[in-house]
Amino acid sequence: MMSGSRELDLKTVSAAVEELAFQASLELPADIEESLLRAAESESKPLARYALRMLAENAHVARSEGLPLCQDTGMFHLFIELGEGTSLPSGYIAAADRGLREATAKIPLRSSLVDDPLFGRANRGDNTPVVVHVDEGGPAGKVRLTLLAKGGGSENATHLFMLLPGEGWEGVKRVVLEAVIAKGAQACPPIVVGVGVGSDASGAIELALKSLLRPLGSRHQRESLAACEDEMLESINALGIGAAGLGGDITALDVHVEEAPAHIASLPVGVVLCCHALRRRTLEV
Amino acid sequence: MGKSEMSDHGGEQEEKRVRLPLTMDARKGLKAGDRLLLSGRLITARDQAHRRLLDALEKGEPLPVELRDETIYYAGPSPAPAGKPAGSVGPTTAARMDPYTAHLAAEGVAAFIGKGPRSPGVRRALREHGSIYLVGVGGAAALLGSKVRAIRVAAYEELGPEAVYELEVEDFPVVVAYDLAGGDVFSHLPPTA
Repeated sequence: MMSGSRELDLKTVSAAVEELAFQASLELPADIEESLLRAAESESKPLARYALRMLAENAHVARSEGLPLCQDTGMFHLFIELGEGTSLPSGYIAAADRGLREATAKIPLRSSLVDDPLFGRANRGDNTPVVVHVDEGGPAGKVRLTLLAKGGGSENATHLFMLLPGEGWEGVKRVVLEAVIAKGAQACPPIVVGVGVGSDASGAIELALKSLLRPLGSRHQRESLAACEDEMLESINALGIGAAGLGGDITALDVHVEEAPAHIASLPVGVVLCCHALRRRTLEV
Repeated sequence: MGKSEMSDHGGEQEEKRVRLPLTMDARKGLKAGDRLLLSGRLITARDQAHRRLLDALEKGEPLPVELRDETIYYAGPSPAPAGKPAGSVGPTTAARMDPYTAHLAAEGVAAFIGKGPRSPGVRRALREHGSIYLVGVGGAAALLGSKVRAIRVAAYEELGPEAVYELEVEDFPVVVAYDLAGGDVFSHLPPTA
């Protein structure tokens, strides 16, 4: 069955998305929960510590009571990484939507998407459509599917900056801090900060979004960018915004930077702030 | 206001038990940074409900819910799972409701619950009308939902999660953000451009 090309079947796509939506909505990933617990231990400000302990307790209540981690159950992104020798069937996007529709009804999730955003804003009732991103790079013969549920409050904190190429790292640092100062307190801190450098405008945002999928504490394989991540994390935490914006030592749990080739005229910088409930789950099928 | 037995959160400060509705006397006794456990009725309203309420006020029409002395909660709950009284219900970003807040404070709303800081104009209007601003911990929605004993739609049912809901809560944890004396729990935040 591994010979030649293996095409995923539509039922597998639906079932995987449904399963991932359950996991992502109800169970905080272990790296996030551990990071919140460490933050609650180390935070020196009592009010922020109070908030962090509440978040740790929230993860426990969600798991034990089967309640969504957040009432904003988010807009769903599906990241597909095709391994060598695998392909997608036509209709895979509709199949992903079917899986999400099932999960929305069964958990149940809040329906957070509206049609006609400018005028009618009528609730769609099922959280579809899933935003689908397709890449290569999955393990040979398999497809890696990652579902991310992104809340609206932190999504509203997204920034795009088109810097001059000469502004370099100092410029990037300045605008990332600008974004966190402007919106950090409203993005449900402690946040995870994704920074996309390069590509074009839409690509920079996409890079920033994808950087959220890396485990907390991981560092970019390029030493220069790993150092940038450390430096940025320290600068953000020095702002003192703190958990729930109540003032404290821990404003961000981590900063991830991703890069891609850019045009000779451009230095695009995408900044995505994710709330502490970084709801991402992965399955290989 | 009694003391709580669940005040192991964070240590130093006790949580104060507060019964809703919040009388003016009770409001005057609260200081920014106080941790409260609310019991009683909350009324949810978020973006679209605010637009409708303000529309009704502008046209001189009666509001679908009485707001005087009530506590408005900026929230859109997730549906209750089978066998549970309510789903998850944490606060949403309060700043989105800034354009509407002075008008509702003028209608006699006692307190607003949301997350994050408000504009200077809202801070002024709240003090002027004797309303306070409380914050919940954004994202602690399953925990906050577990404090809801009953939920019912009070208005605008067709808005789904954006409808106006009446919640009966017990020991619902919030922090006083803006008090009536000008205290501000967010005063440490770096100034925005």
